[in-house]
Amino acid sequence: MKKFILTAAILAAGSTALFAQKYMTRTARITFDATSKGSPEDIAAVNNEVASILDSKTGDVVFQVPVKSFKFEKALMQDHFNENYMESDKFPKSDFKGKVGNLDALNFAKDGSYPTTVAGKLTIHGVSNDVNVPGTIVVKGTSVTLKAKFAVKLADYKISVPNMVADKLGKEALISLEGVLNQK
Amino acid sequence: MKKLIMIVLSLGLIGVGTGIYLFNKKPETVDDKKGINIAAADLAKAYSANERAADSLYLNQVIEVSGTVGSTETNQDGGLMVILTTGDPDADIQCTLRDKGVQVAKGAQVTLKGFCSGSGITGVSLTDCIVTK
Repeated sequence: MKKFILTAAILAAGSTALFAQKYMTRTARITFDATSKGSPEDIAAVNNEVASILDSKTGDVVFQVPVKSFKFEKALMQDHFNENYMESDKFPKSDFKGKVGNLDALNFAKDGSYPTTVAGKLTIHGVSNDVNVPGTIVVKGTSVTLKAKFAVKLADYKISVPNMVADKLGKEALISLEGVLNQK
Repeated sequence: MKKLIMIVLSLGLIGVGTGIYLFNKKPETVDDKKGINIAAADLAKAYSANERAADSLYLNQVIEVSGTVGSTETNQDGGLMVILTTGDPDADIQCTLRDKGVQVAKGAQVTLKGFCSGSGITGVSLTDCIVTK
């Protein structure tokens, strides 16, 4: 009997390990566009250095963004972004920690595109807010692609837009995110 | 009077010229900047020991980091991220190269110069890097 329990325990531990799959990337891509309507120039940037980890067993998902790695076309925009708005010396990271909502409906062993909603905490500029982000999870072999598009109100993260630039910089930023995570 | 108008006009032109130059200036590059020389393992150790203290030394500074290429990853825009080993698998140094088309072989000893973006869940990030050795 003891032997049986031991075998069962080992099998259970083994199967847990088998299904506790983690997916990871260091090169997810985030773009943001905070261009005000009618602005003569685009206030937009891209960051290809976003790290992400997804645990397919628990549904836990993390995105972490090094703020200084956002690339703008012009130096002035990049400097203002880092110094005046994001204060990236003080807050060098933005991140999202959340959970995939409909984990039961996802089959990480079967290729396919699964719509989902991820609920969690988004931290930008040192301010955290609860958010629900709709997105898509695409399973293909041993990789998982996470895609999402959502808008962020700058005021919610204590980023104030001076009147002087209100004709260029909008009150909301549209964020697009795509990461191809590989099994660890 | 004429002289005064000329001076004012010249100053105005210089002002406008400077404004246009500043407005269109591209983000700074590391090429002509002197970097802080450090081994990949030491940079990782500094961040593991005390992230805040390491940030005060390295964040947004130009760093010249030397180490062994553990692996590379191509990002979605075709750029190359070079991952330097540090002896600690949870704290790599990940350097995104500025120029596309540069090849770096796995296992090679390299020195890369770039801006430090700080530390995260997958390691310490350097951005806009060039290969110096």
